Amino acid sequence: MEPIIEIHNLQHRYKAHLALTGISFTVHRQSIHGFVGPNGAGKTTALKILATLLKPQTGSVSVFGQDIARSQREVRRKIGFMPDHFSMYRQMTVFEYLDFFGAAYGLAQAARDKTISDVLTLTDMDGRKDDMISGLSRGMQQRVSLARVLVHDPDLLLLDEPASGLDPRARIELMEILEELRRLGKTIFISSHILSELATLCDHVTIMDRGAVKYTGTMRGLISDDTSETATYVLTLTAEHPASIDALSKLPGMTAVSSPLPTVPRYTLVFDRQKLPVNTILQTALATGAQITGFEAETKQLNQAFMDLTEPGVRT
Amino acid sequence: MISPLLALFNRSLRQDVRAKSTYWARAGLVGLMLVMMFTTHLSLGWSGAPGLAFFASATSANFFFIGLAGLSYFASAITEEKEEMTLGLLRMTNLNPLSILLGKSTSRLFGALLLLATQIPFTLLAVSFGGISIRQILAVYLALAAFIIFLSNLALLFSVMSARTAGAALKTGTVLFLFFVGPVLIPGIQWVLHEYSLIAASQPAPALASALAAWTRMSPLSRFAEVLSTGFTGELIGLQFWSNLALGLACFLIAWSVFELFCRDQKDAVPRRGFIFKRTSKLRLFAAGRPWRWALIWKDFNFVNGGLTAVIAKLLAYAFTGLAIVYIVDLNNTKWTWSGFGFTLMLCSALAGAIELAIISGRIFRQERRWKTLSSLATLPLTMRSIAYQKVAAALLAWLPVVIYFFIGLACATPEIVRSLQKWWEWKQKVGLDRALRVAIEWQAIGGMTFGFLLVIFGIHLVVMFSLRFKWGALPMAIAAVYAGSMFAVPLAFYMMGQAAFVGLITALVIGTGILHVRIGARLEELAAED
Repeated sequence: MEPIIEIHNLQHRYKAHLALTGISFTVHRQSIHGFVGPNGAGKTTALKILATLLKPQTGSVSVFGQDIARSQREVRRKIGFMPDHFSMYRQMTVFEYLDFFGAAYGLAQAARDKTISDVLTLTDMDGRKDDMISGLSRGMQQRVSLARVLVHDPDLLLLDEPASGLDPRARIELMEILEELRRLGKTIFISSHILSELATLCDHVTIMDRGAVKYTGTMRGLISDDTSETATYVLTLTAEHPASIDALSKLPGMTAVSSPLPTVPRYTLVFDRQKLPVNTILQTALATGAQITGFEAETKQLNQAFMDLTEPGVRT
Repeated sequence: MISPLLALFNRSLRQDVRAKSTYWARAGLVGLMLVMMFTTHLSLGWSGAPGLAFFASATSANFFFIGLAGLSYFASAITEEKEEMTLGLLRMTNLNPLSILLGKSTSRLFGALLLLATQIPFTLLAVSFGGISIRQILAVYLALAAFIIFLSNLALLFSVMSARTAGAALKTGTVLFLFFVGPVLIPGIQWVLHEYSLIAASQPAPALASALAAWTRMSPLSRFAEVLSTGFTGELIGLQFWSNLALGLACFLIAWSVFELFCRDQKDAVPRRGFIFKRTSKLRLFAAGRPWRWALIWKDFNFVNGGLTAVIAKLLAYAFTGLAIVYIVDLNNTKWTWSGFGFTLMLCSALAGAIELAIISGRIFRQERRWKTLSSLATLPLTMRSIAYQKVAAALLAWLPVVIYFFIGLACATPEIVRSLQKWWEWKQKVGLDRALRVAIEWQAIGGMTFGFLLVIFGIHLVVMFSLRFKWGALPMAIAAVYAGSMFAVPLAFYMMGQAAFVGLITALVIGTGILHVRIGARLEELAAED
């Protein structure tokens, strides 16, 4: 996959405080890349550097292959940055607001008319274009903010906490819009504290803590832990089947088979990935007459992975 | 245990004690007094009463700073909480309106009074210069203290009644202006009405005349004139002291009684659109229209500076003022000339232009800072310099009416200006003025005008810089800084450089403006990243 953002050994210091301690990661084209970390982890600093609001102090940052420090204006044309607060000209109407930003990006009037119409349709705001922004609800203002980010048709969206302060419906609708944007070919780099939503939305994730990258890679890699020698799978049967469980326990490489849950005949199997292929387990269970309704690798929740990778307490 | 009534008051005092700015302000004011003493010392040889001259300068400076504080420091006491949407939180605590007023305003009053008290040991040295007594000095300080109490509570009242600091400052300024000019304005209005045969009497009735005389005596300016006259032996405390104290108390009590009425509902702070109509409105002639090629100029011209509506309103207002001037000149039976009208128009538009420019420069970036919109602008494919210059261009566009009137005035006055220059030329030919002296006079005149112009440019930069550093009071602070700086730099330059003083002053201003210019750009980038 083509890298869109490449960060290498990036450090940033605010006087005595080292906000980024030399981070490196890559964001690929047309991916939704989650950016997660506790407060004070350095996420906003990294995002501001990517948005060209802060200059990189040491290390290199390139966006679309262009050095961010040298090609600021070119990079700005290709990115759309949505900060974590509602920084809007609320005395304007929705149309005036989008029209202004379109013109500021140098779009001709006809092009602006078409783009504004498209982004308003995408964000489901076309019926409110002549409304004052100050009169809109928070969710709607967030949609307008997203429409503003899209008005110059950037290839990369940098979103800092886009769902913060939104009610559940507005949050779900925002996530649907982001999915749609990925389908339209956009690359989305999104910082958020709402881990459950990131887990379903993102295909890649970077976890930060205390100014350092703790994990960067695919979401699946983070939660399924494919690289470990020991595998954990969950087997669900239609009914309890002691003979089958006994046969599975005796397989070479099987480390543990849990007792069934009180209400569901579900067993957790822990085994050595090298010694015991998954096929053998399935074949053994079927051969002993068990009726299988489910067999899948146990995945950690993103919450758990996040807790494992980050340290407790507040950064000092 | 501190009672809830004094909790906020106590906290504010403690904060002031810990803040470095408190000590900087005191040191600055004392430093200014020392500069004045230095200039007095220089004039010892030719001034009859140097102590009196020094103390009169110190009193003027104090009066000036108190006035500025009234329009910023005191006027923002309650409005800053409203603008930050924190007044509701304060009201949810155990604090009642009285404790909020004491905590937010009276603590500031204490700070200002302490600032005044700090100077007394230094200004008492004026006695040693001669021409003034300790009694006069103490009488002036008491008058100043009473005036601070009045002004702080007047500003507090408008701070309670207004939604924003700018509104509170405007109302305080207007009432203060009327307080000072009232005794002159009322007879003036009566005379104008009499001239138009609308009323019979041309002079105030005896009762009104004595009321106006008492009003005049309530003014601290009258009190200063009385106390600083040679051989003053009057009371240490006069009518001005008691009346100002009573007015201050009355303002405080009114502020307390109307607090609930004006501060009950917390309104969402939203930037104002002014008279820019929507494109769907029937008055769409006054809508913002579509953005121009320079979109930021369009945005600021319409949504910061009021757009076409504001330009038309200003054109009409200045035209009305021009006509009023013509009428007043006519009423005075003075010989009316186009050049006289031109000079008056130039003077008025220059004054209005300076005021307008000062206000515009205070809010040119403050709006973006307040509504945290700078980061959105900073990610546009433009440099911060380009963003700043587009905003300045929009401000200048809104400033156009005053420029138009200035040039109309200039066009009217041009024949007279040309005639004056011709006269000067003929006179120096006729008298056979020494070349060196002629050049010195001409260069001093050019130097003075250049210095004045550059001082305005420097002042504007300072207002912008302060507006990017402080939440409120950028304009009064910049005026105070320019005033204090001029008090210090101008005598020093003349003392050290003599005839070449303007060269030094102009160089310093150019360098200072250049540094501010660069620092404003850097500060804007910092703020965009902080948003």
